[in-house]
Amino acid sequence: MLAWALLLSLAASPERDEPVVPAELQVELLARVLRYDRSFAKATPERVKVLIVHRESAPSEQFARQLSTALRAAPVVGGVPHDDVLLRFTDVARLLEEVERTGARVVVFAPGFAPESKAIATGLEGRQLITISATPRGVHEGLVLGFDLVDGKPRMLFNLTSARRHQSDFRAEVIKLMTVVP
Amino acid sequence: MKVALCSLLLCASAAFADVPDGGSEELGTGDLAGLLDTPVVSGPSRAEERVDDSPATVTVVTSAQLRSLGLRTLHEAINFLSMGMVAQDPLHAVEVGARGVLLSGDYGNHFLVVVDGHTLNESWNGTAYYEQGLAMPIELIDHLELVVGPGSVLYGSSAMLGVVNVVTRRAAEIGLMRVTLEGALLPAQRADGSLSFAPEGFGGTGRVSLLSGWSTELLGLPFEVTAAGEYFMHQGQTLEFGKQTGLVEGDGTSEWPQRWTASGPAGEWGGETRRYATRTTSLWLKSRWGDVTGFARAASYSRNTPAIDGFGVAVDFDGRAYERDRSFDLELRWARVLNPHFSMMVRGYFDDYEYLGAQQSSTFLTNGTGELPEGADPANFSFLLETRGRATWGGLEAQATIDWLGDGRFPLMLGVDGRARAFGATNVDATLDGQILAESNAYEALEWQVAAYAQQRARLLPSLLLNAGVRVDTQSGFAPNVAPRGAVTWTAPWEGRFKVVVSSAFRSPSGYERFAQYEGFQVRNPLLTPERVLTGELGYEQRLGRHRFALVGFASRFTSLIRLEALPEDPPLTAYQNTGGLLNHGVQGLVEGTFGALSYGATFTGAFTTADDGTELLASPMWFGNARVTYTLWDDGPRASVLAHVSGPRLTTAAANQGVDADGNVLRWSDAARFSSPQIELRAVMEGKVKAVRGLWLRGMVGGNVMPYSVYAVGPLQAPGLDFTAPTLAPNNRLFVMLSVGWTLE
Repeated sequence: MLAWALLLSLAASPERDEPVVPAELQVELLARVLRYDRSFAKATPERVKVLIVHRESAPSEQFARQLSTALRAAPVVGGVPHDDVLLRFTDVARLLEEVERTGARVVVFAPGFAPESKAIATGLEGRQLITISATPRGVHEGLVLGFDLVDGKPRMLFNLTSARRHQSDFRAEVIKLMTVVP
Repeated sequence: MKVALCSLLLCASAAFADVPDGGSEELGTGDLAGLLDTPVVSGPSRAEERVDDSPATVTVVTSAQLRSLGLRTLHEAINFLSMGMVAQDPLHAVEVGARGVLLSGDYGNHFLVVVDGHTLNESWNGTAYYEQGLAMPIELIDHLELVVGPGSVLYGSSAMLGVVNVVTRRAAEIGLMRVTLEGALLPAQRADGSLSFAPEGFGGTGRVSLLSGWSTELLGLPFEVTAAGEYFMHQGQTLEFGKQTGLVEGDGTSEWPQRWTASGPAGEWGGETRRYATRTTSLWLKSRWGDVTGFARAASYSRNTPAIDGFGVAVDFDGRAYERDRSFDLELRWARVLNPHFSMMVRGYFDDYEYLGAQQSSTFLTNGTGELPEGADPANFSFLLETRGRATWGGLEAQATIDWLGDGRFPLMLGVDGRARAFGATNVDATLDGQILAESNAYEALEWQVAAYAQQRARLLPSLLLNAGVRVDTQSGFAPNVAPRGAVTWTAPWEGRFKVVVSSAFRSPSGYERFAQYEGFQVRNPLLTPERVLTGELGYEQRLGRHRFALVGFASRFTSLIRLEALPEDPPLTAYQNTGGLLNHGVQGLVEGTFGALSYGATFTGAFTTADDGTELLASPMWFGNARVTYTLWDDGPRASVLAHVSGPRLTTAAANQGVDADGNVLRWSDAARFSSPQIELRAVMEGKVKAVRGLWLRGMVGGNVMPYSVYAVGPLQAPGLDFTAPTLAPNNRLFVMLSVGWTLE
């Protein structure tokens, strides 16, 4: 019984989804791929606001900080200068308020959002923004774009249904480079 | 100079970056596609990073390449895709070298083979296999990281020439079931190198692998399990070896024809054999539950080699010369991010290894005792000379990563690894029906080893990355080994990357090298000290859209290399000894990319290697390279590939041997006889999905060596004589035709 409890406590991961592509590479891909989103290019002002959302857990916060640092090092995202905000997630309502308040066009979710991804996707539906998942699972749960590692190489996952809901309009030749999640 | 370089880069950019690749008139997608082609590696730093940020030269081979190019082993992946590494097949354990240094007869122990962080080199002789002996279904591999250069800073002993890091697939990628069936035909080969297509001379290979991956949630935590098994068999084609005749032995007072077969004529070696055979069985199980991962492997690898090296004893041609390796590996690992500044990993591991090498001899004087068993007929008696080795080792490694700023820019990795190992061996002489005649030279040892390592990575600027580390290994019986490494990577404004790496490595003498002994031929040398190497390299890499080229210059200093050499005070006897060192330097380059449906790649390595004592490195090619082209016939359609591997002429394994004529004059090989021809291996592959059946794919392949002979001298005559002017070289596998079929159930 004691051994079982010990094993359970060892196994008990605070996160159920993990990033598999390093943060710097995710940011570099993100910065480039947004150039191919026609609606992003049309509707984005001179500076774009990027919201990085993390949970109150060590792996989530650690990765969010890495994303934030990598974003600071990237002069432009989608060809546009950017301001970044790090946000600790409490609930969906607060997140929606923050998106509204900051006018964020890009919302990046650090690991740990698999359980809430559906609710978040639903809550953000209709807004002209793009949601990014640091993990593959988030895209399956409804976020627009995410990153996986296959054959040791990064792969972009793209949720076409969610993209339409957020009026994302990626060019066909870029979608061909992605794995489309139904 | 600077202007010229910039002009060159601009021209190259114009030529490659905007080539039509499906991009529109507004903005090409080549740079994005190029970024998606950038592999993420975990081998060089034991942490995930972009390959071009890693503190080493790395070739990444993906599972898609393994399948589409028909690569079935590490050996083939190394030869057809790697930059800086080369492998060659003596019809035995494949030998691997890098950058002009291949140490023949090392059983692969100058490279470290690591699977998901678990080292597979065994603890008796450090052996690692690169052919089917790796005993791993190729379908289990997600990608290979072929890391060239010293790697002891994080891996300890044996990572002298490099590290082969194998990353396996996750359960979800494998699917519920994945089955592969494969078969090949190989025609017979005559002694003159020609092929014979007579049906009775054909040999073949067969392989079946079955993988299954399953993932779910268990007690609210993600749980996944992968099981894999493979059986491989090769029943060799008829091979004909050139005959060596007039072979005699004596006891000092008289001479008589020496027997090299149990039933054939005395005084003769060579002819036809069908004893070239391999059997491999492996079972793998890996699982993950939350932060805990487990791994288990059981494998058996046995082979008959038609003309095995006899370690100085008279080994029959076409006799029962076989080897068998059995291994069992187990690991349990726990890893967690405890807070944004601190993460931990602890792993426990246990491994067991058993080796049996048996060689049939019909020459009774080479019996360990020099005496015939009672009642045996000296004119018609064969016995088996066996080496039985064993090693068991286990340990615990703890690793902490301190991320000083909590943002990934300055992570410090600290680790400690403690292990104990027991190993030993016995030489056994036995009759062919298993009766033991004599046991000799047994040894057993129990040793411990503790290592501590540290690695600081620092992104000083967005374009400047520093990696510095050191590892100290203490091992019973040896002074501590210190293995440092430092690397700086700078990304230029035009996205070219300059990399400077200085790294070191060591290899502790193996138990076999220190304690193995064969009466009348080899004595022990427990006083051996570790081999060492220090390497400096300077590289430049440029991506231009979907195209990439790299150029690396390197220089290495090897010291205290361990070789089996004659004892000066008693020349007939040999012992493993710390001999001099080597100095080598050279360049390696790579170009690869994609033009629409066509992808290409080529690498080249050229090196100059000189030994301190003026001796020459045997069997080691000084230049080699590979090239490949793949064309995808239509979107998601079949792929046709052509591959080539070329390596330059090199000294045969007998090149340094000298003979003596009846008057005592020294006889040497002619220059033409000392060198092998260049080695050229070609392959054509067609692979694709069968649209009518979901998950089904087919692959057809034809390939082989253009040159009939390898660089390995075989047979009892290894030195020049009046009537023997060129060594007999082992044949290459000249031709095979293979068909593979696979089916995946998602």
